[in-house]
Amino acid sequence: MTTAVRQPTKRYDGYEAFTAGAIADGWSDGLPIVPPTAERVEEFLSTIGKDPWEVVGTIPTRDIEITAEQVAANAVMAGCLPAYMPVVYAAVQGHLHRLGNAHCVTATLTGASQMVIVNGPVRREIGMNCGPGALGPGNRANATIGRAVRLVVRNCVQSVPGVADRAAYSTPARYSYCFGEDEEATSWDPMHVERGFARDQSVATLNSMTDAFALFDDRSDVPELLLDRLVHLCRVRPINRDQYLGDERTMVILIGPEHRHILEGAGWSKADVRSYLYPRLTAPHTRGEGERDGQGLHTTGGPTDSSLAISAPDKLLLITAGGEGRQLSWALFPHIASAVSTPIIATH
Amino acid sequence: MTVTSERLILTDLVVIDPRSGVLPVEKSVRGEAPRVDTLDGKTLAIINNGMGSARILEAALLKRLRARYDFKDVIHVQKPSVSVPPNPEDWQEVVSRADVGIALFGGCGSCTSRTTRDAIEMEWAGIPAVPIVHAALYGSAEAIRKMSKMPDYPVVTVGFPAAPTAVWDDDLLEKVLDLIEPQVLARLLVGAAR
Repeated sequence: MTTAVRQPTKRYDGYEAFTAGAIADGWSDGLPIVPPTAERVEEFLSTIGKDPWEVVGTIPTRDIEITAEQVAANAVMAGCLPAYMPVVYAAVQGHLHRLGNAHCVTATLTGASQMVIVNGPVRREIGMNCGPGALGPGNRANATIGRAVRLVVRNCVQSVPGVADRAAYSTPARYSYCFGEDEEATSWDPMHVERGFARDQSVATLNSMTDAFALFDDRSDVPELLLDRLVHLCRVRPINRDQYLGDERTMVILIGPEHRHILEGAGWSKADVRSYLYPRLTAPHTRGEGERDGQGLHTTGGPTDSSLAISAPDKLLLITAGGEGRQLSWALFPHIASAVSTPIIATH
Repeated sequence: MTVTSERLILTDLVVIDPRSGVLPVEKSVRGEAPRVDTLDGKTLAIINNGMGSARILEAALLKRLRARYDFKDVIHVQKPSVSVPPNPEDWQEVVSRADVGIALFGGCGSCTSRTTRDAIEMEWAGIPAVPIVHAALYGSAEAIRKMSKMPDYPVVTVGFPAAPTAVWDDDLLEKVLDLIEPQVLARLLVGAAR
């Protein structure tokens, strides 16, 4: 492996000049960034054992090839520590996977955001927040890994707002959207184990998302009542069948501590929860075939329900995360993309 | 002014450009295909992304074109998703048999850029083509034209009130066709107006 710099370089007269110049050149999300010096980028590359020019992935629609060095430079700019780089790299690999549908999810009017869920030992090694406030600010690893992915989207995928990125409103989740699963707080198997990885393997799962709906339920005291309310919440909007994604469409549900207490207390595993949810989320409709809702989308279910075109129970990704006190779970809807789980490989 | 060691480091800051596409690449210039003098006897490929009113638009436009021209054949390509390339086998059929092409309908952010790219890739395969997109998404077409090194490549636009995902009634559809039919023909035939 060599760490010779391959990208062009720019020279600035000090940090203030760099900040102004980099923002003027469009490198930033609007916030100040850390200078991606050659030494810093090389240090980041050394954590993954990659040469600068190694191709992470491509986007054929845009004639784009993204290299390890570009990812490292954006991770530095985001404020990552070197130990975060393997996580960023794995997440970007997921984004550039065929099922990540990178052109679609970064040019869309919906303003889809790139959600990164981290599993395995690396969460604790780098001090990620998996519990209270996990999806928000305040933790360097969560904040900068998610930001690094978004800077890659901007600078490497070339999705600049108002140009290739056509988001009508966009979302603050596009600054950063990264958290860990709270594996230690539950008896359930973590997501990466359910998806076939070893428990001691660290994994980054990337899925581009649109809507998020909160289920506040402090009344249900048995699994069936709680999950029925979750089903009702989830069917407010459809997930449509997409031939390109085929049977790989995924949906993410974050289950909070109190709701886990109800489910685990009754002896329900994640598989049990999925078995209950799946037929109820995908149940056929009572309206006429081909009828459209206000969005011009085909709908199914009861008179006001939409259909979730999830092909199998294991495509419902159940995640333990969040804090106590509000009896909350979250239903997170995907854009036209599936969750891609990538092993995190650190060389030192 | 006294210069501290910290200041000395910060006054000469060399950074790596974090962007893709900034390295010089050797790439052959790819431009538009030659236009045809008539659509009679030609095989037309229509690459449809299924977005909003795309299928309705395709059927109505084809009906009008067939009233004027005697096509040898029409290849209908339905893409597997709104913002992806055609399936490889469908694309192979297009490039092996089509004489002219239409890509539609750019009715969202990502499908507008991909629809424009579908037409551009037909051009690169030697097939004169035209993309049809919604006027509100023109900037998306503009972005992909620049990425494709064809910044002036023309697109045909459909404007409000023909909203991309709304239901188009017959009157609105006829107005849309009145607008785009002459533009489509002008883009495919010799002597196209730019």
